[in-house]
Amino acid sequence: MFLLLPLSAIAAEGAYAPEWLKLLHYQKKGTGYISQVEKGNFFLTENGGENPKAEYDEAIKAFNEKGNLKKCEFPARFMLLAKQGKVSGNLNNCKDYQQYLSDVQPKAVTLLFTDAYMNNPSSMFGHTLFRIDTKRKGTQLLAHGANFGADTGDEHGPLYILKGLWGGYYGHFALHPYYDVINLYNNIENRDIWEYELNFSDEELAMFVAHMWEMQDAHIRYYFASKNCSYVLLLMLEAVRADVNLSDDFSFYTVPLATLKAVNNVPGFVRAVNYRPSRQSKLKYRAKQMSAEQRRVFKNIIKKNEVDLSSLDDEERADVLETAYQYVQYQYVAKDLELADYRKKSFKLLMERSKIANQHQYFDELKEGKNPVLAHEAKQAGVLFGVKNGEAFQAITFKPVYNSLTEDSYGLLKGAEINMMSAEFRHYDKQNKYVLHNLDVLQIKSFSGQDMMFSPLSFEINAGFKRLFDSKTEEEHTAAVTSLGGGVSYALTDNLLIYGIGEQSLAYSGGIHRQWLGAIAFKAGVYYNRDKWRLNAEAKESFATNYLGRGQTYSVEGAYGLTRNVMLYTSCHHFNGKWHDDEEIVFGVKFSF
Amino acid sequence: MKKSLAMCAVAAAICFGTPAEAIDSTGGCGLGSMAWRGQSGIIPQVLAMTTNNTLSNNTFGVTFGTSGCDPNGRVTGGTGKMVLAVIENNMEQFAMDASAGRGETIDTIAGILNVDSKELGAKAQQNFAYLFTDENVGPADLTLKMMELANA
Repeated sequence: MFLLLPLSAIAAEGAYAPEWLKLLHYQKKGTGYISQVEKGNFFLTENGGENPKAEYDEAIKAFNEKGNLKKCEFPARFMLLAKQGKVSGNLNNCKDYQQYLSDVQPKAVTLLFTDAYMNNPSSMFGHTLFRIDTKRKGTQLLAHGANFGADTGDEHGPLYILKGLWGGYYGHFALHPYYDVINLYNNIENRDIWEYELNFSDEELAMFVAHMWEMQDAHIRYYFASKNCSYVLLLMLEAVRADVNLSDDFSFYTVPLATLKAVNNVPGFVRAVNYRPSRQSKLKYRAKQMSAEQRRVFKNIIKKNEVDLSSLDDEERADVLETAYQYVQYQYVAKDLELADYRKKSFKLLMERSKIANQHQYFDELKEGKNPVLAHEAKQAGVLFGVKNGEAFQAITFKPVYNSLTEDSYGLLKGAEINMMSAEFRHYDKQNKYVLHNLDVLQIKSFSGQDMMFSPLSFEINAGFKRLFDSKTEEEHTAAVTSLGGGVSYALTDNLLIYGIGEQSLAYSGGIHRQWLGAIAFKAGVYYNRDKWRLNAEAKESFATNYLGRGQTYSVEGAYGLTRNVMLYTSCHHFNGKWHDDEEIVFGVKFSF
Repeated sequence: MKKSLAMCAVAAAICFGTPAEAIDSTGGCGLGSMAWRGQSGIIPQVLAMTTNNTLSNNTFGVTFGTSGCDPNGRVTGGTGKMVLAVIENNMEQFAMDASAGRGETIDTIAGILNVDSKELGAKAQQNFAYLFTDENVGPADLTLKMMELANA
């Protein structure tokens, strides 16, 4: 070790300098290095993935050789070595690479974040990808999205999940025209896209684009939860900016939004933010601006297919027709319409629209959203005090991710809750007993209100361990519990929702009467969320295979946000058990960090 | 066991792909615009076009079935091919923009053809019935007509 130090100090000039190590995605492993790239065309030497020095020397040799076109496959490496004065020449004769550059015509690099998509578990945390902005005249529709995705073939089900968790798949980058990216996220999946333009110098931009070229056949092992798309994006940024360390903080799990925040927190790294609302967001915003008469006409068009515009003036007609047309597109994608019917409807609406000879737009377009980088942090801890059936207790809570209904929803999907490994430990005074009150392995809620245009399902999924109250003995037992519920919600205002959910659940505990407990339950609730104030109140009637689960439960959870990351929290709960009731009330503070 | 699998299903799923985030096997072709595409036989139209030599690049479309699509997922080719790619892959939006006389696809096409976007929008709107003769109109046909309008 003593001897190695001066040697590596000298070598840090070249093969062991961060520029080279990060460009080839080497990471420290024991006393040596290993590259994240495991497959594909990426190294020049046989063991290049573990030997930065051999790779460095070989690159210098190959790139200096006359007529050797290896440099065309690895232009970013060539550019780095040229800058270090190790190689001479240029990339002008690299035909494919030059074609790539002339197609892409890079102007900047933008980091894209697509909103959460509750209908697909893979996408509940959002997604990140790059866009290579184009210099082409026109718009960024002609830019290119660069997406790191896993190559999963046709596999589904448990195998797919297990393989994904333990790195059974490889991922790589693929380019798509930006209009395809927009169509997929904005129009098919109805997810907002956030565009964060990165502050790259010309040199960094050139390096990034060259490196993306190298990476298209580089395969990196894909881990669902840790080394996923968002993680690899950080590696890409580090490859171009060797002085920033972004990926170090994400070795255990990587939530896309957290990586976005990490990038945003590098001073001066993000130079512009742009919001591209989804089709659904646009439609909702347009519908909000309609007059009562416009709304009536619009409803007739979309519900009864009657296009009677006589009560509106030209401007009002244009807005209604454009909105109706977009809604028809939405319906087609949602498979609510057959192709032939869809075309006929679309065509009719556009014919009418084209007769109104005015290019001006009367409705405002939705231009501003709530920037997700300003959302509360993902981890949360809390200190609580309460009384349960006459006995005082203290509790601490912790969860590593992500968002509860009682947290500030700014920048996140309102009415959506996703928590994992959320735990609460309690100490009861009288018995002087410590218990794990609950461990919610997974907790998902999605309340999204139905309206004239959209009829989303509301649902809840829970799996974890809880304390079950036995009304006979008034004791509690730890049980494994899963439940699944579905229903509908209606939005009374922007901030107030009512919902009804039917739910089935199954619990097991060695300590309870007959061990197993199956139940179906119906519940109705109110959810209020306005800036600092959040409240969720529900009443539940439960029918169960054994008395432990039978009865009515009333529960209220409320929070007041002192800041986006700190909130005062309270909850109370009343269960009408067969013999005894179960009652508790809780107060406390929760912090996100 | 079953339960833990179900949990993993979701727990695991941070930005992993089914199918949205997975690599699509078509190599970057045609994520969008499913609805209007492929109904009116695009290859014959493209062949018809190329014999007239209207478009600068006359080999497209034949190899890959759909014309606007590049196997590397890139926007490529001459102006005609690019306009075709934009129209073909953004048919729904283009149709609306044409009828309203403005919009992002009109701006894009105007940029490719190096003409004024406002003028092109106005022309598209005035000639909407000419562009969209019926609901089965194809992108190749539209491309030719848009280029004609731009030069008119």
